[in-house]
Amino acid sequence: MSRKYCEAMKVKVVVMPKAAVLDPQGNAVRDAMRHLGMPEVRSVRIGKYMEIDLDGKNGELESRLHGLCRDLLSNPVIEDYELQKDESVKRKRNK
Amino acid sequence: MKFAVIQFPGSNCDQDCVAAVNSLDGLRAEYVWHKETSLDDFDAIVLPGGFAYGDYLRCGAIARFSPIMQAVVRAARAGKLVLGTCNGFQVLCEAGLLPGALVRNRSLRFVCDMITARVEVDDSPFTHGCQKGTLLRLPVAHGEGCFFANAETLRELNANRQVILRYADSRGRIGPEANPNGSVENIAGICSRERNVFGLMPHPDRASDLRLDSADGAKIFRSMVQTISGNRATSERAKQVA
Repeated sequence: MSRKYCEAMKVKVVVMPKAAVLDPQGNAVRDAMRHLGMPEVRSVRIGKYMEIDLDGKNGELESRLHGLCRDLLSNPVIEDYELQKDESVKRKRNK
Repeated sequence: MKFAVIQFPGSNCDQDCVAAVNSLDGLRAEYVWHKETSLDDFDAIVLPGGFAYGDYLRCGAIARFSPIMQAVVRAARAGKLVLGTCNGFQVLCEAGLLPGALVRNRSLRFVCDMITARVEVDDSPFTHGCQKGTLLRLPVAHGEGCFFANAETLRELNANRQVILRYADSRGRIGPEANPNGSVENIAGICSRERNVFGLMPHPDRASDLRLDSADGAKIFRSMVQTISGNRATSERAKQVA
């Protein structure tokens, strides 16, 4: 690879409340959707979606990322997270 | 006797906590900025209410990584009394010092009200001045105070008598009408298994003076003082015997 570029990575993290955790926000949106003419809606769950841009791309970086997903980005007591690796990207090195 | 009141960026009940502690005989409170790293000089630690780090991401999620939190964890492990009110309770749960978590109120509304909390355990370091069943009138002010714990954790909390306070009506009855936020089993406050860490959503700090409509909150601070003096006397005696 050219020296002008470095490996980089884009990931998406989706954090969702666990099934056992009440999601009143999701229930309110479900009710609103039903009121707006969609009685077919059975349930709505609301979580969080994060896009993260990283410099570098390797297994070690990924495992550190998983660590922070557990420690910071989600609270395992009430939430599950899913880390989706997006396409690898090459980014111009900063001078 | 000296209490530390931790100040995170975004704490807003730190002054209430200091005032409540200072109003009691023989007690002194000092602010400790969250960048500090030692709590060795203090007999007890209070994590106040507010919105530490703006409650971004989740309540307490970022605050728990503040430098002072390592000292709080060390102090808790060493057996010092740690009290977290409101946002402080949320921080203690995020830090893993208390089980469970606090999530959005079931009503989706911020509740700002005077509530009644029933004392469930009369021999905890924080409530031994109160008989079981004592009703405390305390204010709440939170949007995310709905206590959640999974079934297994709940069983342990009950089996180990870690549920210190439950929301009740004015006659002491526990029920959905008396529950301001949808907390599971009306839980308003819990302690750690070792009993020296206590978190509650109500504000004892805002109810420590009759001019504030209730002085019931002072019972919790006074109980802490009695616990600490009792522990000191015991260790003094132990030293004399040795």
